[in-house]
Amino acid sequence: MRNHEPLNAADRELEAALAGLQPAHVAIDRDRLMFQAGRASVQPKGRGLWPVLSAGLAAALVLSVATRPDPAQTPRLAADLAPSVLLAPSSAAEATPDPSGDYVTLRREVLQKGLAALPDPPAAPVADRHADLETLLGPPPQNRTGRWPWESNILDKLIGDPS
Amino acid sequence: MVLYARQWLDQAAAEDAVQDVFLALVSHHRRPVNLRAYLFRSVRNAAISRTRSLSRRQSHEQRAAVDRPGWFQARPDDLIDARAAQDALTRLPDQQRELLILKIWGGLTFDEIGTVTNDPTSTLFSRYKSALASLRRMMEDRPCETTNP
Repeated sequence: MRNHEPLNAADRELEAALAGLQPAHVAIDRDRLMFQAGRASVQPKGRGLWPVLSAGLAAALVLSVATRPDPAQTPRLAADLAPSVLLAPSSAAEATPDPSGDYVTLRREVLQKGLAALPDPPAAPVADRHADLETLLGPPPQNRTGRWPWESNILDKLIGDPS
Repeated sequence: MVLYARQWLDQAAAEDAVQDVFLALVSHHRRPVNLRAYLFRSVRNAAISRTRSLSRRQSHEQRAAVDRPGWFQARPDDLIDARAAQDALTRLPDQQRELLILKIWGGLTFDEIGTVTNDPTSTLFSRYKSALASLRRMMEDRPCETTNP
């Protein structure tokens, strides 16, 4: 009550009488309150982390599925290529013996004779692959019609084989 | 603090509100600057919030609140009748009653009460004097109940 005029005697007497009144008994269980306070104090603070993380991952999954390109529109290179092209490298590799198969023998010869003992690198598979690609992408073969065989087949089915 | 919450709630709800305030205090990372003022302000907010939710309940609960226990524990050496004091306090305006409880039974200074009620100190002091005068006038109208034999 600083900077204020003091209470008169009657007010002070009433104030003292009121202050003597004892508030009603409180039924708060102190032990239970302390137990709950202790339990609340040790609860993990990051309880909301996992739901947020799970929701984020779920949203990312839904977004990736929604923006995935249509499988029908994706190029199917393996199906479009001729079997000969797909099988060419492996068949060529199987046909050519691996010069480095006997590593110990090759190492001994290189140590004795130098780099000249190394065998020539296999060039045949690459050439075969180029040859097959040229047959697919190059000009049509020089046959009597000047068309690809598949063109000839379609035309034969549409207009009939004149022969 | 339970007596302070009794202005808005019955005994059980007031005790729950005070208990919740203490539990919330535990989860605070920093200790409040003025702990007493913080506690009373938290009890005030919790009690008013509970009053709003309780007001939506059925009317029979409100009628049952008439029979709730008194605010004070009557003792033979009391200088004033506890029931009469409670009746006079309940007839005071809300702001005056709240101020008297915070000052007399809460033990708060006028500065601390100002942080609880957001009122300037000068206003609180004049309101306190008016509350005491009104309370004395009410109790003088019922002289047989204001003092113990």
